[in-house]
Amino acid sequence: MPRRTVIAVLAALGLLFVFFLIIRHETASALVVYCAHDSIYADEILKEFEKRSGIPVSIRYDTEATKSLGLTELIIREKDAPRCDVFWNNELLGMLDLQERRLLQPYRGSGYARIPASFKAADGSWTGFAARARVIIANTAKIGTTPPNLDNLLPGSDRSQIALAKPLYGTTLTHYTVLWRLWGAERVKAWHREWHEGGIREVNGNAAVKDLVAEGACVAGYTDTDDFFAAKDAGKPVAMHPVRVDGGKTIAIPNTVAIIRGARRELQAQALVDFLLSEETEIALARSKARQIPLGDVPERRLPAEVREMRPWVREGVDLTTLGAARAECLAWLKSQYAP
Amino acid sequence: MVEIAIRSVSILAPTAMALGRALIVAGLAIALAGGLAAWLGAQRGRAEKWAWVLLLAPLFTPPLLISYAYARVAITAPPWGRELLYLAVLALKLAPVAVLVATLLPSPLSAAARHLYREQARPNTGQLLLFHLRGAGEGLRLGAALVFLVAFADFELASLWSLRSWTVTIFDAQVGGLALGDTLRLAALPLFVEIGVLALLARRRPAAGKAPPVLAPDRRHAPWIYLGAVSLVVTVLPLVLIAGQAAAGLRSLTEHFVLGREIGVSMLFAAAAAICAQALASLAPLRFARALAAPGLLGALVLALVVLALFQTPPLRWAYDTPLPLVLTLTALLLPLALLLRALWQRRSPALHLAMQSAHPQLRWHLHTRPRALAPGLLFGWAYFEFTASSILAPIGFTPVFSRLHNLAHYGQTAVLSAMLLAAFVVPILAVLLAGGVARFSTSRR
Repeated sequence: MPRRTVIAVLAALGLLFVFFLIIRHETASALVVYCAHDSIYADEILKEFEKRSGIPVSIRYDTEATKSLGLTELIIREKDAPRCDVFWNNELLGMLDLQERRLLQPYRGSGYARIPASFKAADGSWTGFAARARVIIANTAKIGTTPPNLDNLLPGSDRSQIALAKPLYGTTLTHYTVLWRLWGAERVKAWHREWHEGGIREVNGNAAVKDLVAEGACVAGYTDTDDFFAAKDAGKPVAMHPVRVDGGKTIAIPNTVAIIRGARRELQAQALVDFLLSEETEIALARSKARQIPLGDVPERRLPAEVREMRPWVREGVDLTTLGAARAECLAWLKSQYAP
Repeated sequence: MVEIAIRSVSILAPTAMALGRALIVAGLAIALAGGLAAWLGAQRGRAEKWAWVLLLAPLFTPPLLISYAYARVAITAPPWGRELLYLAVLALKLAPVAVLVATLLPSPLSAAARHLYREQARPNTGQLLLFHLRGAGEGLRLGAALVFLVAFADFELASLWSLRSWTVTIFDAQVGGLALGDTLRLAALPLFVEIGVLALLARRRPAAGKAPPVLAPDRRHAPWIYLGAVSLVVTVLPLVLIAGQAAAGLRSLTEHFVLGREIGVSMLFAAAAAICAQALASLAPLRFARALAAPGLLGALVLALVVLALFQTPPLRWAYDTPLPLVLTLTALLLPLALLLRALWQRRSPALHLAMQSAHPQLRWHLHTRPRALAPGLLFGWAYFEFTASSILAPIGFTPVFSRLHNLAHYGQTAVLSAMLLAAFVVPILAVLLAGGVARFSTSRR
């Protein structure tokens, strides 16, 4: 074996070993957080927690944009040897799945107390905070500012100028699940079929829906409030209208946080959960570019005007906490639909 | 609880789409490779260097850079337009692989034979193409197979542009709750296609280490125009677009540089994988080359999922949250390129032979050391820009830079994000250039 090759191999192994030691050292002492909320917003919050508490945090991110291996799925796979201490999910239904599998450690601390009962598990398995709402995003240059009805916005059965994210995950899955519960399976299936036959633009995520509408490739679409604000802040000609399902109810989807059963750093995990559920965190998320809507009591004057306007949507929201079974049925059917 | 039945997810249609695209891309690569390889072989000096740079630049341009730059085009295009854009980018990016192989294994037909056939048989275009294909030798077939495999297994661009492909279906099934074992069973059909192509490759026995043919200088302009145009579309234009947007964000980025850790992590992973792949490629006997290259040719997604499953089994769980799974996967992904480069550098030529006999350090640097020093640099770049396996297998707290940038790209194009993307692209290139400078300095002192 040439001498240089031996040196290169040894150098590689040495590099790996040093790398391994650094990671072991970091993760051994840090609180491990799996975070499905967008890193652009979550980073600041978690850094602030680190600064105040002195507890180091190691984060694994996941977003619908990259669709990196779903964190909920990862937690299920790791159940025999959990790595994650705290799961900050950006929606609720995945958390219900984990609760049903008994993978969450109940905790009712100071933060839990300030969140309304409709946004938390009675046993403290998970707690919601800072919600987004499902909205119709409309290109005002194309269809003005009047709230559109997407079912008859275009002539006949044409849906080619309407955008929707693939409903297999994220908040679009929640949207479908709500409809599944309210309308029943057959009506959702017929609606889904009709929209697809009409040529709806189905894309990877809500951000892509926002882009299609903001660029004028579609006239309207279903997305979330945070994506709408990204387009609005970029100066695009867009307006939003809350999605209202039967009975006029909105779909408000909270962030959720939970401690994973078997967490190695339970006390630190509790400190983070309390921090995330605090008034201060909810205000910080409301003031972020995502303009998330606080669920607990916060002084109105500390909220941006846009968030104040959206607060009633949370009170008018469909109860999502009982949707676990509907989600399973709806998702199983959706999977079959993406197999023509 | 969500339990998805495997029977409910079909892979047939997306596999057929990926298959069709891969065949088109491989066909285009074949059409280009023979002529370009012969032309490349006839270049000398500075022209040769620039020709190689222009050829390889698109191959090493990260998909995120391309998709980010052309996001508006992809968004506003109708589905068929997006499909065409995807096909074009895949073909332009991957054709260099076929050219690289055709350079290693040039056609046994001499330029004189081609000329005679044209003059005497007066063939039409179809006949001429058939003549070239029949006489192309192993190089084109091997190149086409490699291009086919890489195009067929593409995940990143297909996912970024919302196109149907078996890789996207598999990923969706995973995220939607299909068990890993079932997901891998779901991948049986595309894997069968890939393994079939790999088996065909394994049957071929191309000669290695063949001396390149000595060709008369070729002063045609068309290849320069082609290479220039491709580099412009795939590499330069995205860079210029992003640099234009980045100008406003550079100040903010330099004041608060948040990507340092992620870039460092990516560079460490890439360096470790490049060294391992280079060492394996150099050490492995030639008869094991195909076996070593095969896992990497299955594509990053399938490979990463298999490695993830392996490291979740009790015997290997101790190493689950370490760099080992990712470094192993990156090494496997690099091996096909590493082995190709090894074969390229092993070609003997009279000039190289003379250089090795001479004591002139400059000559040795140009003809021997520089090409060999380039290999780890290219492998490093390939690993650094890899996204799929990195985002699945990176240990907690060590997010590779392109995983982070994908997350940030969720919110569309901004000046700061463009500056970040530019920094993530430029820093490793500077590192490779610096390493090259050090290598040259140390060689010249010997």
